Amino acid sequence: MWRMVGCNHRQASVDLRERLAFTSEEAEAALRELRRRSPDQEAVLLSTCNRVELYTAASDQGGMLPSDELLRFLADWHRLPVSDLQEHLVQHNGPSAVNHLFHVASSLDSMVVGEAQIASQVKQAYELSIKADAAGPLMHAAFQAASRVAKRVARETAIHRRRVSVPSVAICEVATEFFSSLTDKRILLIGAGEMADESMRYLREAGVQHVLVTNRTQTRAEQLIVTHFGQVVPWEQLNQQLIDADLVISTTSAEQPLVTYDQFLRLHEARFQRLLLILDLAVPRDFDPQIADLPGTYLYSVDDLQSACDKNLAERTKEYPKAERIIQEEATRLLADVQHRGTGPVIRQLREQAAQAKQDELTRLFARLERAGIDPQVRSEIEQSFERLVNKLLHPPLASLRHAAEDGASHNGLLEALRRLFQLDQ
Amino acid sequence: MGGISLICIASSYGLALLLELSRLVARVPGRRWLVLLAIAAGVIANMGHLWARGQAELGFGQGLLATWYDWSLLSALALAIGSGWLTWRRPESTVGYFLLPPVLALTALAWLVRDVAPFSRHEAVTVWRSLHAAGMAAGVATVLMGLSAGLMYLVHSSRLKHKRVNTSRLRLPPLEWLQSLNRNCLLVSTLFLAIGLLAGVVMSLNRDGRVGWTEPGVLLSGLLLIWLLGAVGLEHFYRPAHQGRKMAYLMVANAGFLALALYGALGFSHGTAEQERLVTDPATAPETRSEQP
Repeated sequence: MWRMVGCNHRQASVDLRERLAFTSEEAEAALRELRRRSPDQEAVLLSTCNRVELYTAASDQGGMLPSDELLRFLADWHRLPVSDLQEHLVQHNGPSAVNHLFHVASSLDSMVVGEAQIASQVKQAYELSIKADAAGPLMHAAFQAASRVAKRVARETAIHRRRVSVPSVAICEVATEFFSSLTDKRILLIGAGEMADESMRYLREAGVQHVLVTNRTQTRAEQLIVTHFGQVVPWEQLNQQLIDADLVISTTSAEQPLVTYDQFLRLHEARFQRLLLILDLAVPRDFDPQIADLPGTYLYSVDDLQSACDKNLAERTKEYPKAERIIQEEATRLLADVQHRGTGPVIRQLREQAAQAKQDELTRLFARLERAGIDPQVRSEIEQSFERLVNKLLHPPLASLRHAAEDGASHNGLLEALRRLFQLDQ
Repeated sequence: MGGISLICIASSYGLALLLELSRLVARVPGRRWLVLLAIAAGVIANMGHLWARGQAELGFGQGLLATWYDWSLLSALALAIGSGWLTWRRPESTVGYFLLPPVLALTALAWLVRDVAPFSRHEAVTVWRSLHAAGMAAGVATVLMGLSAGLMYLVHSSRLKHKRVNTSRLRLPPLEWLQSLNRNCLLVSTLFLAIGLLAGVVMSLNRDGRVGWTEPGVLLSGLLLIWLLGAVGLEHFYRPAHQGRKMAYLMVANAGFLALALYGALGFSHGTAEQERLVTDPATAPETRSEQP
């Protein structure tokens, strides 16, 4: 009843993923188009930099578009030949699709296991589907369960607790070994490129509200603080800022070291050995490695931080089995729940039909007995007896249906048999 | 000194409070220095007055610093020194609003209890001995805490220099916090040991009429205090000593001096009945000893 067709970082190159990517406006339009083509089918489209995945679901197999049609739909939407996609696409059907969704939402399928962004991207995709009127009860159940899985994995395992990107480890793990809090520290960010941008995000996460940013091209530093926060200081003041700073994050792409040992030695004397942490995230390095030997100055380069990242990644992997167990539990629970919900109308109809037959027979019987003068107590005994009879007759088929739903096994055949045997409405 | 009265002391502290309160109405250039000057005048007057009283009390064969009056003034003196210290260290804060009124209240209390009968020498010895023991014990504990903080700093600093971060087996507080703990331990231990030593001096004067300065326990405790005062001065006036490893090394050195002081106290039965018997010269033993039950 669920299906997933798409590609991700495991099977498809960045180039193909980029060509298949949807903006949120495109995704909404695509979902509306799918709904138009197949009104009984629910759909959610998840498009991130690492994956483009189309999830579909319907209570009836006949209401779903087959995988090859979904593939054609994706190809046509981006005006790509189907053959270009075919070998890179992955598909899951039934419980496997749910299982895959749970892996994605809990970031076990991410390029960096444990990255936190994917859970919110899954949620946004689901919300977009609701907005496009493409989500129904099956998608509600699956994506709400996916959200629950993501939360449980985050809460019950340590998979998200270890950081794995260099700036995040540098700011959130290394800097905290030196400072109790970064909020009252004088922080100098050198450079205004991508690494500086990422560093700013982690600085904000650490509660920092003020950062001094300096860059050779001042306009780029100004753009950075517009996106984030902070204050630009002229490049010419670099030396003075290095004297005053508690934490320096350097991210330039300079070919030569920005600060040599001899240059820093003069600054070091002016600092009176005050504690200074330099996070040199630049490649090649901005600070002469010899600076690390000076008392009170601690210099970390990308290589130093990378080993901490690798260690954290290994720690995350250790948590994998625990997360898998959570996914299995939740997948079983979802399938049982959905199947149980599917049996609801059949059970209700069966009970109503039996109750009606019982009532008809009782009415006819009491009409005859009234003429002979029936004792009210006898009347009550007869009513209870009929009730017990109906319950005894209904118990075996209903129990079989309930057990099939709880086991998570496909019970469509059983439902169909009951409908035919008892001549229930479709 | 004998001419210093309670009025002089209260006037100095009162003037300091008035200067502090004047922040609410007007901007006065150099007010912080005037406040400090007034507090310093009060402290000097307070100490001079207590010194003069001590001399007189000893002369009359009474217990030294053994009246409610003396203790009120001693408390006022301690609080005034604390207020002056904070005014010096935190010029932007108006701590005087909150600290100087209790100083004045204690001075007023001294005036109210001026006629209460003094305690006997024996009782004075008991009180000062307790203060001596408490001050020394707290000082020792703080020096040891400083030693632990210093060692933690050195270990943590060495690990961070060698880029060994994020090890769950040996997780230590941030370097900055350890540095601050070191500094606080140095200041607090010096304060406690100074209180303990001064209380010991007053106790000895009450008990024996003199201080056994050459006794190893007293001599080495005094040496420890002098070292600590030197360390505080070094930390305050030599800027690189504020930071990191130098401070940690100071804390380790403090523990060395502490070990010496403890050797002097424990190795020579300082404060035990046997030792008291040896240091007390029967010829100079105060008459009031006979008052003891």
